[in-house]
Amino acid sequence: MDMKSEPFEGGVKLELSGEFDIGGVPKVEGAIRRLEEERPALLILDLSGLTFIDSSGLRVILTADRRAKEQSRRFALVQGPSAVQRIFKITGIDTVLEFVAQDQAS
Amino acid sequence: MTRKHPHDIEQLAPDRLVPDRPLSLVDRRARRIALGVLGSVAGPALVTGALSPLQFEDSSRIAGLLYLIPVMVVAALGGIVWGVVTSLLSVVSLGYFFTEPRFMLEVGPGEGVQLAVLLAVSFGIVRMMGSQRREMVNAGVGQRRLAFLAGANELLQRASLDFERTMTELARLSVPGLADWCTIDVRQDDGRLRTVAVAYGDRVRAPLAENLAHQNQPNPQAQAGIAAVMRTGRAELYPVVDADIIHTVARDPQHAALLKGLELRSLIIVPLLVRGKPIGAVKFASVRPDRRYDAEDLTLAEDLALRAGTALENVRLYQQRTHEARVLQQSLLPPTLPTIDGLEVLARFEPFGHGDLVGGDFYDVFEAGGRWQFVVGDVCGKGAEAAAMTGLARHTVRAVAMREESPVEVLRALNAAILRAEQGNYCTLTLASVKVGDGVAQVQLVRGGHPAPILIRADGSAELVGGDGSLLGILAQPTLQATELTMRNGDALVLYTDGVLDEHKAEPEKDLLEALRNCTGAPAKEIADRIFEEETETMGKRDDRAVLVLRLNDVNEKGFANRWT
Repeated sequence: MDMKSEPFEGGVKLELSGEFDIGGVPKVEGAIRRLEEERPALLILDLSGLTFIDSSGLRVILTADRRAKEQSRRFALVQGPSAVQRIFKITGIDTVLEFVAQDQAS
Repeated sequence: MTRKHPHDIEQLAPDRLVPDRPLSLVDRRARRIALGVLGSVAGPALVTGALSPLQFEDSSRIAGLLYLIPVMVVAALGGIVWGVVTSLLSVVSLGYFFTEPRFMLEVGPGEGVQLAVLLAVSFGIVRMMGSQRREMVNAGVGQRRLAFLAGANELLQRASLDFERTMTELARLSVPGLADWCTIDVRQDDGRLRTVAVAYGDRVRAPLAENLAHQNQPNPQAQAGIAAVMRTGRAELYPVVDADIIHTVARDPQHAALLKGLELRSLIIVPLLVRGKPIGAVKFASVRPDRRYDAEDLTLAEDLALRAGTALENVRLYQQRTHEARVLQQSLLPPTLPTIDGLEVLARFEPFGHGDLVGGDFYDVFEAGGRWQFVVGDVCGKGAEAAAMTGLARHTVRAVAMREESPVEVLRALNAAILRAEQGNYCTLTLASVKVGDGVAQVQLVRGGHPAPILIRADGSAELVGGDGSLLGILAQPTLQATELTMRNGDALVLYTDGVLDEHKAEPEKDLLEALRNCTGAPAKEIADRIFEEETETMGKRDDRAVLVLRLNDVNEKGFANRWT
């Protein structure tokens, strides 16, 4: 599990790569919360580098989404590979979360 | 601790106890001194006597040089005191018998100087040799201590969950480097001490050492020994073990006799401390005259006991946690499955890991509103939090299903309940509500963000069933829809959790479908077997696995239902 944050005009993007399971939760959760302190208008979590995500990873995304809604910020995801997208589809939250194109944040 | 004359040991140790007793400490020391004295006096005397007929000008000088050799021997064998004593004796004897018969009374300045020089030289040699030997011994001891500590560290860090095995290995490790005999006693739940580990070296007679491990309980009020160490939590160091000490530390006369039989020379008893409280004790004993425990050994032993105590506590906590997890997990799963006419039901659950954490998977089977309800769910996370959510999910579904016929409404109620609980957690779940008729079953299926169930037809085909649905506990208005199915004789419905899928793949369900094709006529057990065999490398074992199979029996198979594995 690796990550890299990249600010852009009007927001910040956090790129995740590797396997996002329970082992990566504290790292990603911490990183997202640090970025949130700056109150970015748009926080993008880029999942395109992920190979796997499990329910704990999903929970981090869902709670980040909830915090953004509570604080009237915009939280969006860049789609991951099909194995990652599958989880969003099965859990029925692909329609609830906002997905943006990769180039939107560059 | 008062040191008594070593003879007391002899008096109190009846020979019949130790028929093949080697030379005692006293015997050996006396023999060594006698040899030293004899060597340093008789040797030079004989040489000088042999040389004197040759009429050397000053034969005493030759003898004086020669006598240095036995002095060195004595120094090497004994110690500084005996080196000096033998030097003096030999000088005096040489002077008296060979150089000047009335030497004792008329010491000339020449002889005085000679005597002083020889004394100084012998003193120096004795010291040098003594310190060299000590250094060699110390270096050896230091190395052994280091090796022992390293080994013990490794052993205790391996986090062996079998405490007694760890303790036995630890005891073995201390022999012979640190002790010739090592025992570890631990207080049991009933308050009694039990020897959990014994190790001894070649120098200790095995029957005695083994016997000692099975002794009576010590008097808890004893002033010294293991009971005192356990009571006070303070270590005891006996650099020299004598009869008094044996009498004090022994549990009873028989124990004392055994201890004497072992010929202990030096003893350390350290408490095994867990959060400052003694829960056991480790005994290190030496039977070697050249190994007397000192403060450094005591520090090492205490350090070791502290680590061992921590290891024990970890094992205990782990066992307790595993036990609690098991109890909790069992309370979250139905203890048995109900018998359902015409339906073969099988549940298989395999928790992830070593069973020390409550997993997030669960299943349930119960009757409500004249229909059988089958539930398979997955709660995010592990441990107490997951257990709480599992309890909430399982009991909410059960309670709501009693008054609510629509499975969609049951899941909506659960969604609301999880949101109200405000745990920030969620759950995915499949609910199959089944009405069993004669050779046919009507199924209403709802998927709350859970992987799609598989329907295996009697003709061998298999398909994913159930409509889309969102996970529960996140959205105020989850999307949920019921799918109606009709099962006929030989059809099987498989509910499962994602632990049986390789979620590194884009469509892992396809592999599962493939594995379940041509299951025609297979009983529920075989279906479950096939699913559990589908384990790929990338899946590893990172998740719980739960499978619930319900199969509508062929008419002629009726009565062969309700397997439980």
